Amino acid sequence: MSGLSVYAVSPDQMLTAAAREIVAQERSRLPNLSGLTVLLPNLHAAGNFGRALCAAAGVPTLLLPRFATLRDLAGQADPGVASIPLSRRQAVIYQALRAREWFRQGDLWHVSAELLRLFDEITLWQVQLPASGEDFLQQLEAAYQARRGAPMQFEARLVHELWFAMSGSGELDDAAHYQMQLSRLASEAAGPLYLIGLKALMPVEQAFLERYALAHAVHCFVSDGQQGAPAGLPYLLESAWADPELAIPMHERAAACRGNAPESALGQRLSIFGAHGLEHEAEALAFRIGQWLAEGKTAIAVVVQDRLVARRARALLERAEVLVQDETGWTLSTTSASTVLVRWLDSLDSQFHFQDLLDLLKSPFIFSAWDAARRRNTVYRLELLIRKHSVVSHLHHYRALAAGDEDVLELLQMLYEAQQKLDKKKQRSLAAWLQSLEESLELLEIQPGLQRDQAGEQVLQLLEGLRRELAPDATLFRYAEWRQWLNQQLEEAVFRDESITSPVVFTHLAACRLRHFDAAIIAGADAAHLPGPGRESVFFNHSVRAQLGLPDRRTALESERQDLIGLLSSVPEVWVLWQARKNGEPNPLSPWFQRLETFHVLAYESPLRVNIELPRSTPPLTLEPPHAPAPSLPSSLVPETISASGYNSLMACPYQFFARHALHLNELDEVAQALEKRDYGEYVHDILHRFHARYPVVSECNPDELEQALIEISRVVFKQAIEADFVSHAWLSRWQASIPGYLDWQRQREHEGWRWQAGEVSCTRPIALGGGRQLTLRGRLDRVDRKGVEQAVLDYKTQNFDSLKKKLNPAGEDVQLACYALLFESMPRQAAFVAVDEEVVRQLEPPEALDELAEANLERLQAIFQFIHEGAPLPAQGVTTACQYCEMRGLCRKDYWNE
Amino acid sequence: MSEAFDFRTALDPQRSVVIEACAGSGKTWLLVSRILRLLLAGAKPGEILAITFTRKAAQEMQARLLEWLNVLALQPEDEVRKFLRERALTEQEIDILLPEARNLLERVLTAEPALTINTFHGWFLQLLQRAPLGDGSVGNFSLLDQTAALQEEAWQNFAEDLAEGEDGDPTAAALQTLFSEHGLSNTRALLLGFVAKRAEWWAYTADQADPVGFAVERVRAELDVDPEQDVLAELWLDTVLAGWLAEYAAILGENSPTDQKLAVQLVDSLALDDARQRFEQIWAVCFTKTGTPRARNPSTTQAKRLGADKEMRLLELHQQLCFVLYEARDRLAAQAAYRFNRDGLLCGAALLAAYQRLKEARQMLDFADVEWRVFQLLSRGEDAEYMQYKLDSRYKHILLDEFQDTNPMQWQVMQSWLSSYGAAGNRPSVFLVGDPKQSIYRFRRAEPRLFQIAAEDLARDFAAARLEQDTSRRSAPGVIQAVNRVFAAQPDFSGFREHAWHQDDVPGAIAILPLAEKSSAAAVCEDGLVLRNPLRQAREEDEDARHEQEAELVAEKIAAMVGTCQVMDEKTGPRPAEYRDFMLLVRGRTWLASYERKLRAARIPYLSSRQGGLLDTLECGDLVALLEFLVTPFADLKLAQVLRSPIFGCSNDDLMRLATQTPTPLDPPLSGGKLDTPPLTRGGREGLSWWQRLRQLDEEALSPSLQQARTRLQSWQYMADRLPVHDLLDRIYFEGEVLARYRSAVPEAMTGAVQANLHAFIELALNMDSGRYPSLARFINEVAALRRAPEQESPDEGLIGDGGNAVRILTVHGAKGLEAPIVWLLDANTAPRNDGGYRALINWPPQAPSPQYFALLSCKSEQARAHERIVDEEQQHARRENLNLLYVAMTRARQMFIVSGCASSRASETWYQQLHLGLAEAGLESELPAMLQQPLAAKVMPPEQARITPLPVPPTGRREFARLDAARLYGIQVHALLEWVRLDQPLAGQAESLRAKLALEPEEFAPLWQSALDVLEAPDLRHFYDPAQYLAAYNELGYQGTDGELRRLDRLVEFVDSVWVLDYKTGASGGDPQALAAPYLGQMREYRNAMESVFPGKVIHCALIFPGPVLVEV
Ligand code: SF4
Repeated sequence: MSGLSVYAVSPDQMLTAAAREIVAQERSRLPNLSGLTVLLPNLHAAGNFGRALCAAAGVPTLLLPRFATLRDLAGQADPGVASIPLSRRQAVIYQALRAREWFRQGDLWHVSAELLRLFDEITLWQVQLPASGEDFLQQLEAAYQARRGAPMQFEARLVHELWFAMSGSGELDDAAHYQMQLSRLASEAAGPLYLIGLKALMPVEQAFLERYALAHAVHCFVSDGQQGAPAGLPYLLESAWADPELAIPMHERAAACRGNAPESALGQRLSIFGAHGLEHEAEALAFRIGQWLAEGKTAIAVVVQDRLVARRARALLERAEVLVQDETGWTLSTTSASTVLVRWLDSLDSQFHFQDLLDLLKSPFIFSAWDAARRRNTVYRLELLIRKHSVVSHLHHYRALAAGDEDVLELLQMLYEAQQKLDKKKQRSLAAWLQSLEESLELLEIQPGLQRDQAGEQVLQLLEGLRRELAPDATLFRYAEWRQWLNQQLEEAVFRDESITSPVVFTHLAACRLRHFDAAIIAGADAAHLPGPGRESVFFNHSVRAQLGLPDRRTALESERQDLIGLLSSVPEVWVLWQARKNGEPNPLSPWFQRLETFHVLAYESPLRVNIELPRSTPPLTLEPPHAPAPSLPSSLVPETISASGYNSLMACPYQFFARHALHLNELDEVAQALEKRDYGEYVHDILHRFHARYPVVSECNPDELEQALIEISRVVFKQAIEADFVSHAWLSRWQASIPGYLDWQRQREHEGWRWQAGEVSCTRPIALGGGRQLTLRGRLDRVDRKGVEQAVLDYKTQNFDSLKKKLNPAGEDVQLACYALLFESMPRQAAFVAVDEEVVRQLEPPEALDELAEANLERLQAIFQFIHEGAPLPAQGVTTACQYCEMRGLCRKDYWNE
Repeated sequence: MSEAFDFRTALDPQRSVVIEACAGSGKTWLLVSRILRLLLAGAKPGEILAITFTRKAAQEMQARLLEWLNVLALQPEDEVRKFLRERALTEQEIDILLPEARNLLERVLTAEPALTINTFHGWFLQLLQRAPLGDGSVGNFSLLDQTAALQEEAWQNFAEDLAEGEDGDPTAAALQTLFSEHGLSNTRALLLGFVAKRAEWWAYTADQADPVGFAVERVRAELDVDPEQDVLAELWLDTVLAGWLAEYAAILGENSPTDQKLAVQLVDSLALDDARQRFEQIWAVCFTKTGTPRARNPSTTQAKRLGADKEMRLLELHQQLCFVLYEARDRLAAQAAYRFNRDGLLCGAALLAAYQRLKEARQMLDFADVEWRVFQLLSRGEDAEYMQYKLDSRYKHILLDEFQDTNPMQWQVMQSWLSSYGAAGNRPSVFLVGDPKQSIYRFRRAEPRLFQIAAEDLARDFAAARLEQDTSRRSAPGVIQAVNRVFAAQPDFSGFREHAWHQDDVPGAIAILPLAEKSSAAAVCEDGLVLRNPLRQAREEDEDARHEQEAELVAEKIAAMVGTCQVMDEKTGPRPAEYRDFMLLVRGRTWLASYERKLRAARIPYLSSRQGGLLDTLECGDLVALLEFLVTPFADLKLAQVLRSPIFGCSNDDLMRLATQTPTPLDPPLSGGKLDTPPLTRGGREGLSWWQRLRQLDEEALSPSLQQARTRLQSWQYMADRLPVHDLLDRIYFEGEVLARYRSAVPEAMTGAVQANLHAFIELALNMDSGRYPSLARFINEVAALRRAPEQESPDEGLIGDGGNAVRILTVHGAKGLEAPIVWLLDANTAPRNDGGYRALINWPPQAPSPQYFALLSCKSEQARAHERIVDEEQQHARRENLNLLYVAMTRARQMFIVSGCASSRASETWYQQLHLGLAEAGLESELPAMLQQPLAAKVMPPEQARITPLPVPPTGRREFARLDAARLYGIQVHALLEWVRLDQPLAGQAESLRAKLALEPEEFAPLWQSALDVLEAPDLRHFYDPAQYLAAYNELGYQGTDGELRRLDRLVEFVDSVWVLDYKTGASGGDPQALAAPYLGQMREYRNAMESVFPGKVIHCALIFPGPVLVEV
């Protein structure tokens, strides 16, 4: 028997009808059907079909036919020639493109991937490109219905020229290899072939069937809802989703449908639910699955149209200890296993920028031979050093910091050695680059780490596989080209966690064909995700593709339609979820379901949309109501010393003082990548201190010399900052602009009789408190001047004059000058800010009499500490300006107070 | 009011139309109706392109269209007829089109290509993806929608490059000059401002080989300046001037005492060597400090003093000198401006180049790139034509919404698009709607003047009809009347036509509340110096007292109005006002916190969807602190914040407990050594991190909160290494009951917003996680970068699910397209910020294809006269836009518009004043009008509770070790070889291809192959593998048994009178065969039973083949 027969079968009858037909055709072989081959859309369907066959045959034991997908079957045929792997083809075409200089280098990998995709389609769809470029151009002109312009000529030439270059190489690509396998298979045909529920076949496959049918019978069972009972679901779906171009208007179809069946076959099976956001959709999904599991369902499919929702829902399920078998997978680039690899390369590229470096070192995959605690501690020590010294990059800088810390040094040394493996200046073949990468990973002990991780193992396999495939290719690539290539590989490889078995399966629509599920959810069924956007080719457009004989969007839509009909008609309960609102915007439902619903309302006047009331959570817990805190300190925590800035903090907000000075909490040092205002202030202080150490008195000196000296000192102080960051020039020039003004002011001061006496003086003063307790006031004075027996204390400020003026009013709010005065044995004559960051430098004294002010501040300080010792609360009460930059805001929790 | 609007023309599918439509007049209604009419007239969905300004608007339009199509499909015929009549179809037309209308939904839903409703940006992207190959646009780019972080990086790269560059690099020198003359922050602002205008810059310098040179030369020409000229030297060489000055000094010396002083000053200054100093001094003699010439007028006393002639001469000289000096000063300013531009443009272009390089390296495009590429693409005739046929859609109808927000480049693109249609017959119809009065996006380069120009172009080339729609369907008459009064009184608001209203019977009102005054807290003046004791007395806030006062008023009034005040619900008629009916509008965010605080205190739920505020909220701060702690466990402050947050709800006492903790000498009780113990340098209790202290404390010493914190943090730290950020956060939310805890620990007024933010945060993690190469540290860095980014670019606060009943607080910009029954404009008495300062000055006349002029501006005092005109023009636009904003604010109100503000001495041209000006004569009441305040039964919904989902199921699914151990893998591979090998061909020849199939190295393959050969070639197994000896043989044979299970046999060989079932075992070998076989007896029995029914009459043998090979029959 030979010949090709096609049976149109309603999708809900597909397996039984096919089984019946096979049994009828092959009755003589029973119970041994092993001589037959049955092709299924996927192997998940095999178990189901085996049972159907057994039932149809009515025998206790049945030797089953060979079940396979067409790809698998072809894979078993050996055409005798190996194909050239995709990676090598891409390298070849990349090189061809690179030589032609048609594109920017950065785009080449992308263009080459696109071209390969197109070429595969040309092969598989058996498109014959005309041999002459001119003919091809004419073909395009006709297809586009447009005159040729330069862009069309380029498109034509690009495709044509490279197609012939590639296909003329004599090497066998995957598509052609498949074609050969198929023809081998056809020529070796050894028994009847049954195809069940396979979707649109590609022309090469169609051709294969025809050839096979010459020798043996080929039976194709194709899905067609209209073959079902007119009252049945497939029939309904078929007419709801009929081709609008050919069909009668929706109203009439709907009326006919009701005529066939007064009760909807769909109403009880399909529910559509619009969520008001991602979280809501994910919750609904998880909730629904929970209910189904509780009902005892054992096969649940979630068709993932929107990955974000699926991911969110999976987390919700997993936290409820419902594991999910995920057939959709993730690209390797989104796994943390590939992160460690890429961060390693990032570190190389950024000269070990501290962020890349720390991120790399904190990865659990690196230095796997080290004890985890030792690795962590070493990294934390390195981090502390980096933060403390604000080092931004370069291994040798880190090494300089770490002197004496053996572990840190060892770790840095390993990085250094690994770096040597990847010399970025050389050009190498892709395989050689991979080889070096693997060697560096070995040195960093990343490999064993990755081997312990599922995704990690796949990353390693990918690298190794590629290296092996590419070994024969000697084309040289620069480091940057290779990195781009590597990114593309990690981007395209899919990681699936295959270790989980679960009744809940996340899968693709197409993978549901003929499988058995008790219930299914289509998640993310909005217009943007269903129909799926597809992977648009950059070449041609859909109508041109159709005319050239390539698959177009309609092909994809038709196959999706069939999948949907198949799913809806075989799964007894299907929920369609989508976000009716997304980011506060309306978000339309998938046109498939929009159409189906309207159709259903027309036919049965009942909508398919439903509402799920998600259960409310348990009543809220009782927690401390938000209010402004006011803790009291136990004696052990009352500070024994206080600085002027501590006192200032106490004034600004006692709670802030509590956190900073009693709890000793501080922000960690941040690594500064550029000079900041704070550093600037310190530099200026440093400059002035050095300057006066050299020139305590300036009046006698040559003004030009002084200015030069000061400029010189400034340069020295700024030198390092400027080398590290060009922008520091700006700060230096800012300071330089103040230099003449400063010297003027200094001369004026000397004119008044004041002489510089000392700078950067640290002082303390004990203050007696009641009960025999004592408090030490401490401070560091920028500068002390003397005039005869009188002294003055000066504080350099880089704030502007007006804001300094505000500080001094009202009295006692800023305590700095008063505190400084208190630190002298006898009350100085003068305490003043000097606004040094202005063109005209001025000094500023508090308006009150200094001794009175100092005394009042002292008394208050004593009183406050007395209170604190007695347990007085330290209320959080900063004013807006104090709170604005207060780092304790997370502790006082001001944002939540109900005033 | 009458409806004079010509719907028939507006919706006529045959015509092109331009409509200027006022706020609230139903632009969306018109546009979507027009789409319907096009479809009814037979247009294919793919032939329609509708473009609007925001994604949200596009989505809403799409939703409206679908809703209407559903109406047409489903409603009874009467309804449908009415619906169509409202859209200006005649009865006859309706008769014909009815069936078509009913079927329209299906046509639209199945259309391929589909109907396009998009933003300019979205559409440009679509075009770019279809762009011709070869100009780089084919690249696999991703879209960069947050540019600030990358620009910051570019700035660093730029600086680094300069540092590494050669000495004498002109860019470095230019940057240094900018730094020293303008300071760092101005320079940065200038250069980043330049980058922000990159699209204009590209358009301006397109096709220039040396863009900077070109632009600098244009600046030079515009300023008409000779950079080399030594203005002052020439001035002082001028003998005539010298004569004038001497004479002027002499006369002054005889005049009033003041002038005599000036004379001395003048003589002194003439002696100065320094040309610049001399100039400044002389300038001060002739000009006042503000730069205006000193007033000199004839007077009788002066005439008496000097004599009439001399007085005349003095005035004459003064004028001449002022003129000369002024000219010289302008020359100097022009030279300075020129130098500034030379340096600034050079650096700006270099920074831009750094930014572009960075994007290129990462294969990213930002919107400006997209726009520019499309612009370039379509300005090339051939490519533009190519785009037309490359798209699957062939647009025959183009609809443009919110046209006033279009920028010149977008209009250029649209024009190119339109002109690429060629001959008149192919031209599409164009439908353009907009309202120049609502143009408020100058900062995004919108150009409201385009509206007029486009209207004229379309009238000329497309015979477009021009219509005006001035009837508000939204606002009540009371509101519209106020709008009319206010804007008719504004001369700057040109082109304003009085609005009409649609809803006659809805009550509406305006209220201008009195300004909040500075509270005159009597300053208690005591004798002596009494300092504040911070423990007893909080510091008085002074700056925002007025805003506090205003905020208090707002909160108080809202509280009073909710439940009593009556609003007209579109669907249900009059009902008492709810919180959700209020929309509070502000110009900027400055005082937002004050208003929020007062609302909170008044227990009024609010939602402040301030842009980009998500990461600044305390709840997100807590989570970020937690994550930071997890990667950096010695960050004590972060840990303390987490402890204090509702996640653990620790008290200050708990913190103090940790602060006093001294280390115990023993090992920490909790699996201590395993986790971190960063030895810090100092000893004592300071030497221990808080985390270490927490872990070392005895159980009894810990409060329940601290205990919980310890356990949970430890487990989260463990998970942090293993889970992606999003999954980690999800666990934290779940185990830490985060949502529930926050719900109970934040003020009632905030619960809704806080819950939404917590969801938004996890969604942020979800989105970032799906990005490439995720890690916790990277996430934290990215969050930090987002937080630093300017408002528009950082993530918005979460949106509460539909149905949240809360007052909304929005900026006027954010409120565009929204409406509310009651709109309250806050802080209306502050003057608009003017956009002075360092920036790019661009003159792009709307009709021109590219900017006519591009220069940089420094601060005002250095402005050259030649630039003033453009600056003035700019300011005029700014003033107009400020009025537009007010117009937008007012027209958001359906029924009530309330204004409040703070008294201010500096305020001029404020909205408050403008409203007053327009409404003063109307005798407007300042109190809230009574008519809206009829008490109705109050029914206020409590804010919606957030939900979590307890799943009612036992643990499901299991994780297996899918990892194959070497032995199993070996077994599988041997099996495969035995299955694949072809017995009809020589074995040796097959090795190579089988090896390839298994993808193995030769050395890995060899032992496998040997194992297979062992079996295949063993003499006593020969008959199982020699086709000549058996009838049939099968590998991997499946069978279906009676129990419904599918099983597989490794090999079945059928002989004439017997059948052998062979099962390969690759594991252990040697020893007693029967013992080896023992575990498999049951399985083999099952095989035998099954095969007996398949092969009746034949003897069934079952055998195991162990390595060796050893055949064990069972
Ligand atoms: S945020 Fe304000 S109230 Fe809170 S601690 Fe800081 S200064 Fe005090």
